[in-house]
Amino acid sequence: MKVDDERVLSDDGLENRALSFLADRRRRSRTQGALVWGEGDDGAVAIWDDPDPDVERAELDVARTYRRARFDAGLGWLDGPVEHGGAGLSAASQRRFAALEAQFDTPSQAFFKLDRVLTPILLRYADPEIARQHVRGLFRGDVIGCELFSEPGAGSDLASLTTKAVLDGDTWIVDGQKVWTSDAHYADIGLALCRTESQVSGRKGLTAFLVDMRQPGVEVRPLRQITGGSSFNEVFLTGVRVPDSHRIGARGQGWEVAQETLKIERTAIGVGMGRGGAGVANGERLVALVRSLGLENDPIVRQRLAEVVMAFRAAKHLQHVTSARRRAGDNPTASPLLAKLTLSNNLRLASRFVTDLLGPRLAADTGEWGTFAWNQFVLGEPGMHIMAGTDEVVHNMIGEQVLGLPREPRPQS
Amino acid sequence: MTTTTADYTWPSELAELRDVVAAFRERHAGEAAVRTLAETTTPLDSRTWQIMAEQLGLAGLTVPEELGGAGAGYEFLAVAMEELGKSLLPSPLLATTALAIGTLMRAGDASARERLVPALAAGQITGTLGYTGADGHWDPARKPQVRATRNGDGWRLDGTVHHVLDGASADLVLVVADTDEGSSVFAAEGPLPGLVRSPMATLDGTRSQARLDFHDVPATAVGVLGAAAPTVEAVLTRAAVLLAAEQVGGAQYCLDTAVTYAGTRTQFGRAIGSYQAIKHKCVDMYLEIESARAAVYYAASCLTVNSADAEPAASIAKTLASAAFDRASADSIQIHGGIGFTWEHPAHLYFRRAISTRALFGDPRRHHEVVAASLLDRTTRSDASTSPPESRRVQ
Repeated sequence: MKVDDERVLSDDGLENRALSFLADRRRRSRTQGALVWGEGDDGAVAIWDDPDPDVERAELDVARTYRRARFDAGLGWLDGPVEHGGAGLSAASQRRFAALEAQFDTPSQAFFKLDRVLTPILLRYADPEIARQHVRGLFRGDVIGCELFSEPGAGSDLASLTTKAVLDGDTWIVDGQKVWTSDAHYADIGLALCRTESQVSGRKGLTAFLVDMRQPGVEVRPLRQITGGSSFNEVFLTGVRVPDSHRIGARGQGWEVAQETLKIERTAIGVGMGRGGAGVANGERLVALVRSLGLENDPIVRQRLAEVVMAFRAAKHLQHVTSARRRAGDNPTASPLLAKLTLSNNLRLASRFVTDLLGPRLAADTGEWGTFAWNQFVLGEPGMHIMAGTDEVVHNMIGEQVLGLPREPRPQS
Repeated sequence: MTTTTADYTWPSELAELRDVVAAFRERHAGEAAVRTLAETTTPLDSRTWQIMAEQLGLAGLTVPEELGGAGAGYEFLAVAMEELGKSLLPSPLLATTALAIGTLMRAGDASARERLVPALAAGQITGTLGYTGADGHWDPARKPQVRATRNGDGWRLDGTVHHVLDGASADLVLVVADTDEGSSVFAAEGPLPGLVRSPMATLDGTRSQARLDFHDVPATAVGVLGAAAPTVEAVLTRAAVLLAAEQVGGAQYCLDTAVTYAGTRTQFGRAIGSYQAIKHKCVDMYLEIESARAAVYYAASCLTVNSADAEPAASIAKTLASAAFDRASADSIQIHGGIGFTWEHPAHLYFRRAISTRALFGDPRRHHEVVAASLLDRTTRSDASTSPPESRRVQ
């Protein structure tokens, strides 16, 4: 299978095209694969982005320029359908390109991380014309998306959300407040879950819409979080007008749309789109930290380091087995859910370890490279247990959907 | 730390083997059979062992074809061990394959291998290896408590080994003994006057251990004198993976029965499995089992291709599988409630197996140390040769 895909890439001359595209623009990454203690950004351990707004704007410009060039060179979406600007190749070709790209210092594409989350949703549920307009843009960097799901009164229990959309002719008027919205401050579109059927409570009265984030009535306010920084926003929607053509799915189908989106998102988080990933990079950093602190012969530190690294490796193995099963035609439905829990558990384990390891150096900045910087990891870690479905909700889903345990009694809806 | 890039493949033969072993288990390894064997400490009847060794070919699964085996990868034996681990049938399989065959295949002694492995692989004889002192741990730096002395062309053994798996019943006893050249492996075969086999009382009655006292027992040297330590290390690495596979199977059984029970048993008017406290326990068991299983398959594939990563991979598999089994067997008792704490219920048999296998072939502390050494010590040495300038350290 792997061999076949490499042939696809090279037969089309794509591999050479990819390499020359990359080599023209970017230099080979010097630090690839090896961490040099004291070099580079010691804040790279942070779980959540906490950018300075000016720096972020500049980075977004650079990232966008690269992304456009990559798309225009035919390399932006190798496994995408041709009619939407993709190259029509396999997922493995895309992986192969990503591996090549990783050998170069390319701008982070984290700004565009919902491209692969929103695209299948738009293609499946949106008006074909609306989908056509946005999907290409998501991959070219012209359009950045965000999710307008959670509300102050409805996090994991999305069925209880209260943001309203009322039909006025062929336009919906949306009023309400969303929260925990990543990327909203630079997003162009938002997938919003709203209550459309006021007489129906619970999940049946919900509908999804694609909201233009640049229009009047959309107000984005950064939300300051535990880490001291801001990687999420509150979004206030006041009389926002959304044409009915921007409805995503049928009236009352919003719950399904949101669940499908979250499912795709969890898969992406689990396979390492999140900064912590399966933790391999942080594992190397922990080893280097232990050594820099002179604790490499401390038997207790050795035991605990091994424990953390074992957990990282186990997550990696689980991922490999999952992809092997996928290639063999099996569809392990539990795997994105397990990946989410594994990531949460591993980050907790690593956070406790690094807290004990650093002690006073975590409590106050001594100026030493690679020590106090971990505060953004330790402070960010609790958020991972909440995002994309709390750990408790994910436990319920696995228990009921995978193990077949009886459902939690629910109120009638 | 290396990023693991092993190719996971799922040959359909693996699934076929699993089905065949599952059918055997259902037919011959029921709870009644297990309890009878465990409570009487009689060895497995020769007919059932023949089915395992001859019909299913389990004893010779990883043995090369020229020595009468199937020449399969460790993934196959691991799958078989996992499936067998769901039942607790006392059998000579683990000691015979992991220890006796494992030692003979790695000792670098062609004549001993050709003489003994085919009979072991065919199940005609069973075998084991004695390598630990009274504390049950292996330490290559420690002098064995058995002493081998030359006697004409052969050798004589005197001393004691402890915690020998199937030591009371194995036909072939391999033993690590001290010589002037250092620790060496010896083979003692057949009925041996002077060898006193004393079964030890065991927490897990489904796996027997014995103390073996050697009094002037004739034996033959296996492999190079003084080379026992690397042989035993390599054997224990392989044994740890196979045992980890068995632990995953045991843990899976505990989860399956707990889930079934939690789905039917009602308290306060609803099935206990609908309570999050119970449901989440089951999911945590499941997560640990899936992680351990993936680590076992990776470690087994490392053994098959002799990967440099095999040793830490084996340690990770053994540690994770021990933890998964530990949790699953304890939580299964908790979920079964009072009935799970009774002698009549099988839950305690799995709890016993979990506790005793945790310590076997290296306890978690030792395996943690193997992983720590692979991360810290190896790199420290290479760092010393290309030592980074002190100025790189930002103050």
